[in-house]
Amino acid sequence: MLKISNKASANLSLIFSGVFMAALTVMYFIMPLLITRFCDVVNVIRPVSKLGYIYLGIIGYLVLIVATATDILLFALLFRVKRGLVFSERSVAYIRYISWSVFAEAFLFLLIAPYSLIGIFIFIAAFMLGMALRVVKNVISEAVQIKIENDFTV
Amino acid sequence: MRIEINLDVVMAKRKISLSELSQRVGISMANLSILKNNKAKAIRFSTLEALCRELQCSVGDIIAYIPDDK
Repeated sequence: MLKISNKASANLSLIFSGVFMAALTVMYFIMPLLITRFCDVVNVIRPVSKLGYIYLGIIGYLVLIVATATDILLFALLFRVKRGLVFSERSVAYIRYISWSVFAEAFLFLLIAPYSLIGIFIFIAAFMLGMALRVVKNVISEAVQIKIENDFTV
Repeated sequence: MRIEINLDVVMAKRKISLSELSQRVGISMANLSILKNNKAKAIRFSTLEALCRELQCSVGDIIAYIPDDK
């Protein structure tokens, strides 16, 4: 099985985050087109009004804004990992913010459920990811407490 | 309730500096400073033993228990 070093793994994660950020930037420009395509698909089952198109467009941009904020937080967390500062209160705070961002994304996708069932499936997946991140945050928080106690043991 | 470290008092009585104690005990000055300033979360028996040996005192001279109502 392929095994890479911690440093290489952190660098790979940084590259993924960078590529994701680039993709998000492109999506800001092509979002109207994506919404139009989505409405075309939904129109086959039920017609989407002009108001519905605007509603989906707003949700689309909100999803992008939250995703961008989450990616920035991931960048910050990865830089802390590279600098060996992962077990700190600030890292725990970053993971907490990321988990709340994922929950926010889950609820945004739930809002498109009236138009497409895919929204419910993405809501479930994102909610599960948010819960998993909460648990990871709790684990890191405990590890931080142990590290502080260890650092201040003379 | 809290545990107070009176290392500075014992050091002053013995007229010993932090750097000298650090060398004699074999603990870094940074760690001794943490202990002296009551920032330590725990103390090893080996550290206590070395401190008591070099300062010629008992554990109670270095560590004191302060109840809440005082």
